Amino acid sequence: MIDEERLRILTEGTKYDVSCSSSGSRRSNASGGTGNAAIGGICHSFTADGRCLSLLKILMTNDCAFDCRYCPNRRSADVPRAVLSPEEICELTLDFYRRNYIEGLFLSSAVYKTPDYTMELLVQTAELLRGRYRFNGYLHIKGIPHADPLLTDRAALLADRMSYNLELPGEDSLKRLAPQKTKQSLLAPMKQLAEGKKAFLSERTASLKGAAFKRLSGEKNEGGIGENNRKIMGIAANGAEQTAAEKRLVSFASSPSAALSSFRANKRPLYLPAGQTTQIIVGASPEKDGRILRLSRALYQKFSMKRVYFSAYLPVVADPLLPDVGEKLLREHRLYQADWLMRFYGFSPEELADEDENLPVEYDPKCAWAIKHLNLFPVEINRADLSSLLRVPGIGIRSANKIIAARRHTELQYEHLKKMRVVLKRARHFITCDGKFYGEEKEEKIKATLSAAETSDGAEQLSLFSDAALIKSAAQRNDFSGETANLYGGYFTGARLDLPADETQKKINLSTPEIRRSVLTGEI
Amino acid sequence: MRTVLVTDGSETAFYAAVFSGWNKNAYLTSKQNFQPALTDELADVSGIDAQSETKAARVKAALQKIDARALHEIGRILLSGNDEKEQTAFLYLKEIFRCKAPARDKTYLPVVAAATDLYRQIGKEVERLKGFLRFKETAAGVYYAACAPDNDILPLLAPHFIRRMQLPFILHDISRGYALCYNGERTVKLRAARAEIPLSEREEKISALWKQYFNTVAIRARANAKLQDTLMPRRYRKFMDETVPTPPADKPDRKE
Repeated sequence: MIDEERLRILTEGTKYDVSCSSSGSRRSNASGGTGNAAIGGICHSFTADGRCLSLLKILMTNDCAFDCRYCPNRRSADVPRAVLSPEEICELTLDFYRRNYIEGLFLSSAVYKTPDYTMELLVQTAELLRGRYRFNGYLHIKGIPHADPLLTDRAALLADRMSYNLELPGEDSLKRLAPQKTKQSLLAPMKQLAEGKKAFLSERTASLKGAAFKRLSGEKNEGGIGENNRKIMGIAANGAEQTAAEKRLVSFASSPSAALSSFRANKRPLYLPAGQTTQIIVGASPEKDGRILRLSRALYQKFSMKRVYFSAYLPVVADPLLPDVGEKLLREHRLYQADWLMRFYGFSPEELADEDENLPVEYDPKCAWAIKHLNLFPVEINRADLSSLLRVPGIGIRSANKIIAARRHTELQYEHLKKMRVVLKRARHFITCDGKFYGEEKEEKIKATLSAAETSDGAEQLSLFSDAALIKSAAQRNDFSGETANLYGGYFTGARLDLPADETQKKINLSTPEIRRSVLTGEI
Repeated sequence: MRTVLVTDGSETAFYAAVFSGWNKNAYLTSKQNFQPALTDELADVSGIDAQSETKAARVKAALQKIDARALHEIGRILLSGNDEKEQTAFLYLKEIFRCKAPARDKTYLPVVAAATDLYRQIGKEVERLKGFLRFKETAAGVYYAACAPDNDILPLLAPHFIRRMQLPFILHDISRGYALCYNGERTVKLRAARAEIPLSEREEKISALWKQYFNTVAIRARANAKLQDTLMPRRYRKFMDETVPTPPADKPDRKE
């Protein structure tokens, strides 16, 4: 069994990775198996810094061949090194899972010997876990840049989610600080996963239709796995033209898998049900918030990211190229607020910050936008449509829904809103209730009240868990099909995706059944 | 004058009391040590007999016709640890019958807001305990978890763990003095105020690994005890391995 020392070393290496979410997958348990995934994710504990602890986040090894300057595990650093075997990782995961400590495993690794070698070991661990240990809980695999694409696909069929960290929001910064990682090595697998998932889903739909047809015409059902998917899974290994990597993969897939194949056969295969995410470090390099928001929108649109995480830079390594003071958490918080506004409230980055400026510090981004657009306010809460209500500072998706449901029954008054627990501290300056206005008239006064409101409310500072986060919805995305198709090559230079001409076209789909279950995640 | 109807906390007794108290100025409660005011008329309706079953069935059938979802909502509200739960459900029910239509959207009415609050609190606690519950492997190989939730939520938690674990386990509600035992096929409810359970040999070792993991992942430079307390209230921590030797809380636990 794993000893405390190695566990400590390998945990240290992952703790600055912010993502610990276990949402987005509804993988079910199978007979004789252990675990399932909860679509809304489950937080099992909260660390002393107040972060949700949901997964066993661990490195397979911290023995790295790369030399990224910001990384405490870089090759040239003098730190204790440790390695875990796939079996040790699986056993620890199961032991923790059965005690309900965790929701699953977040497996990451330093680049051990070569990228391919590392990725193979990660895939092998995932296979053991899903196969021999019959584990159906959540599995997040951190992809290794530069690894063979076939290994990436193989991992995608086992994991619930994968992620490649972009780390730095600009190509120059990347070159300067992480010389062995290139834009290409990070973006190529993201693109592969986005396209792989699309292909997998469409092929499965097609083959399910085909299977239904065959059933009708009396032929045997082939189980709904498409030809291409079989190939990825190494089932149909009849191709004469196998590449070396493919051969390796097939032998790999068939060797530990006698139990695996019988077990997986009656389970429908899944390709990253919880999609992919990425992380950007904020404050280690000079890029401004406006740039970062445009970049994240591009990632959401181009690679169907589920989340882009932001991590305020914390000096872990002393290096002349790196700032020696950490970035303020408030900046990270503002970015997340803006991120939410983009994904759930129909805002575009252009409305929130110019490319070369940061988000305002004294107000939250929605408030700042509203103050700049006072001519659009106040809105009458008994008449305003959903998208206008959502633009009112202080009114989130849940409040907007409550208002719309309640006003069918009565003409809502200010007192009603209070009883409904709509937060009015900010909202009152921007609404009328049955024609009456309860806020400040003058812009200066509004500004003064609001910036005071923000600072007096300490709990607001880190609440990823505020009302808005409780509710999941899908904001309609800007249509960008023709435009900026060159984003893959050009997004570091800041692709600009303009708003659709008619802004009222933005509709927000609010009442999916998962809404209430998706506590704490806020994923599309 | 007010009529106080004291139920035994069961759903049937609640609906029977609704029936009996419908045309009166009634107050429903299941609190055994309820202190009536001098002018109150007290009626114990906790005994369930054929008559009360009929009464309950009639109310439920009527409710089913107007708003079937409310049946589910009230069933859940009755699991609340709030002393006012019967009265809250009763007033909510009255509003539904008054308009002969679902009332859940009328959140501007205090009676609806109160019912919604209880309902949501329970859902929230279920979600919390799905994460915060800690199982220990006993010497017999059964997984045992103790808790003392604000609301009576074990019946809502058990299905989650049955689907997930496929192992025999025991969920023990210390404050209500009962346990749900799942043997791999069926769940039975047992009275049990306390439990002395010998743990397996590996248990301590794994618990220690977990504690160490928990302490290592925290970023010291960003300690934020206030946020941690909000997200993981102290009353849950005494059952969690990683936080067990908690320094005594200087304030009594607040109910949310």
